[in-house]
Amino acid sequence: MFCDVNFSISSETFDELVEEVLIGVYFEVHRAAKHTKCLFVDESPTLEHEKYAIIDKKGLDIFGELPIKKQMECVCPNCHRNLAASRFAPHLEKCMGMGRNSSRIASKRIATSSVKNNDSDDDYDNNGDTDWNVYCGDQKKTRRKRLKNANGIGNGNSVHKKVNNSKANKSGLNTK
Amino acid sequence: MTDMDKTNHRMLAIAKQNMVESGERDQLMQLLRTRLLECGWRDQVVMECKDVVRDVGVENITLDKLIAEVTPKARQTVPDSVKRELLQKIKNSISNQSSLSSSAPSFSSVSSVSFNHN
Repeated sequence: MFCDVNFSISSETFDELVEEVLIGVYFEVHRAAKHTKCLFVDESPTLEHEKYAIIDKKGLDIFGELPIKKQMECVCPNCHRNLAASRFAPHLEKCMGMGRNSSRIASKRIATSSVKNNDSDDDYDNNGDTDWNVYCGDQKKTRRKRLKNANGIGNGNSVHKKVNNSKANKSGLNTK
Repeated sequence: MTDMDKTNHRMLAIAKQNMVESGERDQLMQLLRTRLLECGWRDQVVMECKDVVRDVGVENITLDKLIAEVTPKARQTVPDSVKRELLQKIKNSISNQSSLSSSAPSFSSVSSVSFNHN
């Protein structure tokens, strides 16, 4: 008499428990399918598998290639040429004009002189300093330009004055 | 919904609450998981799910589809031994509950009517 109700309660409880286990399985499968590529990971090899299969033959390496030195190629980001890897670094030096013996300044001069012919002599001489001032702001450039100019004219006093002015204003020293 | 159904629902809720509070439900859950894993049922369900995913396609698969397609068969294939064991334990748990509760008017009133139901 009591057992009927009891049984239906037990049965329903059991169904609930099984459903909970099932939902857990579904979540796992769904997650594996959507967020990873591992749903079918334990199955027979596909095309990709064969692409990366390990090769175990005599005379060949693990990729199936002969064990000679392979020439690697790369593309220069500056001039977009195909280069041998062993020549890449020296080429970059010349190409970007940053090595010891790169004559970028000279080639730049040639380029600028062919574009505008009215360049002053002062500009010419001072542009040579851009080699080690590559990242300087314009202000610094013009200041050095002014200093070089002063030196060129041979007026030592004016140089000192210039230096003093800029520093004296800050520290309050005025020796001259 | 008949009065009978309502009472049954209430009893089910009470029984469930008692089981949760006493920690028995968690124990039963753990036991069920272990049994279903041991007998290979879980792996079967996973195979079924993979079949559904293969049919529908990985982009189109949803939880709802999995639930709809796999649940009926999964429920059927639960081994009888596992079902019997768990049902027995649940029944014991519920009888212990009703024997512990001093005043259980709802239980006794239902028991007299329960002959004809189900």
